[in-house]
Amino acid sequence: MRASGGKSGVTPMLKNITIGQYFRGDSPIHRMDPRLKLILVIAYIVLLFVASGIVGMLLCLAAAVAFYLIARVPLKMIVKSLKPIIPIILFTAILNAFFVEGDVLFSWWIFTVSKQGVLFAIVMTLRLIALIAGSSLLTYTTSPIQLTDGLELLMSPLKKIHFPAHELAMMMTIALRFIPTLIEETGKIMNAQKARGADLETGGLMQRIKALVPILIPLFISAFRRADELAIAMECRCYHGGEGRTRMKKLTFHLVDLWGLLVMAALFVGILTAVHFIPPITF
Amino acid sequence: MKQITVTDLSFSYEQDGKSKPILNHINLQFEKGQFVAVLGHNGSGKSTFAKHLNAILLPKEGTVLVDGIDTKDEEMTFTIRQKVGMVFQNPDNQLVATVVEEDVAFAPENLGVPPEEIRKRVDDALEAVGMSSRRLSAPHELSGGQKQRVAIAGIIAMRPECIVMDEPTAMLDPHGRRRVLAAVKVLKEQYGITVILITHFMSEAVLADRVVVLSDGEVLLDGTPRQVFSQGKILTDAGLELPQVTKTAELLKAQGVPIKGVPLTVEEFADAFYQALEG
Repeated sequence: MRASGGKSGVTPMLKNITIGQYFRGDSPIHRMDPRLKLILVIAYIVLLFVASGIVGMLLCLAAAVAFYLIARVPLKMIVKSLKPIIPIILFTAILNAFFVEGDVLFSWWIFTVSKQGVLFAIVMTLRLIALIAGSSLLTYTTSPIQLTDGLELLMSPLKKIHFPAHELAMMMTIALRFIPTLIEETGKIMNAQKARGADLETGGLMQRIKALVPILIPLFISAFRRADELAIAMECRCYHGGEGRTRMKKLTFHLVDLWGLLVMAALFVGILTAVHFIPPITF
Repeated sequence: MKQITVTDLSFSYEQDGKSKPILNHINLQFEKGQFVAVLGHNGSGKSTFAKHLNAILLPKEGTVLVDGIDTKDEEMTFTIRQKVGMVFQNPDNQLVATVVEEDVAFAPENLGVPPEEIRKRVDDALEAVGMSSRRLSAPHELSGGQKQRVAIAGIIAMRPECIVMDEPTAMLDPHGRRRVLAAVKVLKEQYGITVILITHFMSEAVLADRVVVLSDGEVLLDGTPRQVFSQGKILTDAGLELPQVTKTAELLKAQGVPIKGVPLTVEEFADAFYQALEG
């Protein structure tokens, strides 16, 4: 771990993690209601698991690419969002290739690779790629605040069974609000401890983990103090939970949402029919 | 018109089984539309006092009345908090939302104000503190002074009658401090909001209509800035400094320069000094 903190060293990192996910834009996909977008993403994931075979997956992936083009989000963002999960994709693919039984393609020692295994591995890989690409598009085209609003409203029927929908959304908002603040603070504490001679860069794993203690303790103490002050400030602004609360921005469905719904429905029918009629790819 | 009436207010914290007195029989009244500075060194009880004004803390003894409503009346807590807004020292720890305008909307949303009205209030409040151009920014993209102005806007949007500010400029650089004080001036002049500014900066207290000095939980001095700052001895004994220009004038007087009156601003000082040289 590089210990260089400070604003310059830390802020770009944070932009990659959370807030930088969102691409400001004005495409039809950006303008769609976050609630509908959430539902459509779930529908897309369902479709990924219902449609089978390489043809189905390729069609789903093509649809995802088309959505990226409509949203004017650069396609290289798909690659970027895939990077962290490449090991998982490879692991799944290799595991499937070796363990699915069928017509033996070749075998060596205790390992056998079957034809079905290879096909299944390809389908799984494509499915995972489409899954990540599709769900990333949601965060690329929806601001965190819209996302939390959407989640809160979608979950609000669950309030009847005492599910804390508003509280969860509030927690998400506050977390999003304070991540940059705390990251900046971590940088400051690291610098302060380095100025006092803390060694964060050398030594074995255990030593480095131990070196984190003098950073985490002040960070936690400060976070608790912040929480306390924020709670008082929220009380001063008459916060008393979700009851009787109104919102400045009301979410409403527009024509673009209807189109979104129709496109997804068409995709469902189209891809499932295509999979049914196009013979599965084999070799 | 009396807006806030504090009668015989006492408060103490329990610490290690002993009660530690913080406020000691305070009697104060605040007029509507007044700009009052409350001065005091660290530990004088000024922050504790501030928290009594909107029912964050409740008096152990005595009463605090806001527009005639007792802060102990639990059913009226939110009415009182809507009437008396509060801005704190650390601007980072009072912003809730991830977008400036959403944060300003937080209080009216809590109060159940209709959406169109919230929109109007938010635009209005951001305009008043000069932050309209940053309404879509994230809080972490702003400077300390800008964040503090957003926090003030968040309180204005609640349409309070009084704003209590607990050392709002203590963590800001001089530029941020000037902009925040300018926003405070707008509150008073455009909105007629009563401002109670808790501070330990003498230069800020000079701007007020009235200065109250707290020391060891008691009211030490209460009057116009000129009345209070002519009590140099009492202030120094309470661990407070005079404003820079006032102090310079005092030192010159001690050296035999015949400066008349108590200058509070650089301009006043320049005039008095010029007259002293002439005469």
